[in-house]
Amino acid sequence: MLDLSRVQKELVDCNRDKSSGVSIDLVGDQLSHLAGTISGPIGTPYEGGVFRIDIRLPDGYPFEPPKMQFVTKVWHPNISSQNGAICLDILKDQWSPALTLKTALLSLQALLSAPEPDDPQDAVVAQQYLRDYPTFLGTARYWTEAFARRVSIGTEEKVQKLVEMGFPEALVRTTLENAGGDENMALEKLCSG
Amino acid sequence: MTSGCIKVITKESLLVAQREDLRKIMDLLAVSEKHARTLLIHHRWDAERLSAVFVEKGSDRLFSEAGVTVVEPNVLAPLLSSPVTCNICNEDVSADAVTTMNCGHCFCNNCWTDHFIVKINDGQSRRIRCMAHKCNAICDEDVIRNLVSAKHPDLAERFDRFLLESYIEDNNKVKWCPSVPHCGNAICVDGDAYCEVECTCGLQFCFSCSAEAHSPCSCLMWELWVKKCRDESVTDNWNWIIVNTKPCPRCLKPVEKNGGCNQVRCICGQNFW
Repeated sequence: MLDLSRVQKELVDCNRDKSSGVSIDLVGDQLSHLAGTISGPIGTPYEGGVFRIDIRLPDGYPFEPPKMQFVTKVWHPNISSQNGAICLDILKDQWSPALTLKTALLSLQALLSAPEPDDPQDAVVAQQYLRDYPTFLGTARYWTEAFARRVSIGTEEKVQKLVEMGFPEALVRTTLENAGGDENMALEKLCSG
Repeated sequence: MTSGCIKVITKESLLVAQREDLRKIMDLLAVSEKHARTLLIHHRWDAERLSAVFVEKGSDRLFSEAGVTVVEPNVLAPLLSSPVTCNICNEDVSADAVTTMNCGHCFCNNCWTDHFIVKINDGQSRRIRCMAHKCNAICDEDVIRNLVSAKHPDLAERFDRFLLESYIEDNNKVKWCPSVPHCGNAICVDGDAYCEVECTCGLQFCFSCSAEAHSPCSCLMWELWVKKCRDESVTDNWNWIIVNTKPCPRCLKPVEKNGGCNQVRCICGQNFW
């Protein structure tokens, strides 16, 4: 039932507009599995980072909301620091078929700019945000620096390091990419097979 | 143990009981049956509270909060003559293949139908909102019935059954009799909900938690006791429920998180973590 023509059109429309700071790519050859990227909003601790989001489209899309999850680790009250799960109303009961993947990604970008610590997904982060804002800023900035820098920077070094450990290069590259350039996460995935 | 006025609602008297409340609101506000139903579902079939809101806030606020738009759709329809682009599927469709809801939002009939089918299958058919983002309007039940029955007559029947059963499901004063196999009855209690009732099928149960009558033990204590007894005779199914679900704090049904973040919405409408 997945409306393929609409998804195709959405992909083209979203990627045509380069200024929005969000983009959508295919992951495999299925239109039901996509990867979104959003750039961290300027003036926030996420500035300079590029965040990758795993997008799964249910059969009922666009009448059911897309399932989105951060792949890139991010320190934010409404996003799980463990698994990237997102607490955002429009991805749940406030979803409307008139919204698109692009508007959903833009809403995620807005969520990065304006956290809602009173409605948290990650209680630890939310506590820190409310009680010790300077430390929150520092941690969020550090995570952006450590996990969300542009994947191209230093990728070759990471690939080389992992290849030296004995993993095949092609696998290393795809795993690294799926892990949003996070070397440790990629290693973990490679080890677990 | 206090008890209010207790009434048994059978399959046959359900329609009559619902009509009674609908009639009250239709007379009070001079609205059609479908609008009265939408208003009553929003206010959990509490006609007194609905009247109080009407007196306090006026009919405009009452209608907008419940998602009721009382505009005749034919006021909007003549505006459409040339082909229209549906904002959902991006297809150009002729003006006779689109429907404008009372709120003024217009989409093609195929998209409306798919939207309704997803909601009905999801068990959310009693309050199907318009497809436009942030539009709070509840879709007209006649439109839903017509469009859905053209493609799936069985789902249209289910939609009607859900609307009828809303009187039980969305009503703090009424509960299904928990008899197994189900006798088909529901019990209406006007007054204190913490009481024990007896259905005409002979079953006595606690109206508050739907478990078998357990006074003077409290509902919570009874639930813990039943859980403990079950834990000692674990079956695979029950084990799965313990590991994978949490009871909804409002309706107590086990709820499984099927993805997303930790904020979960039970089909009864309750959000919890």
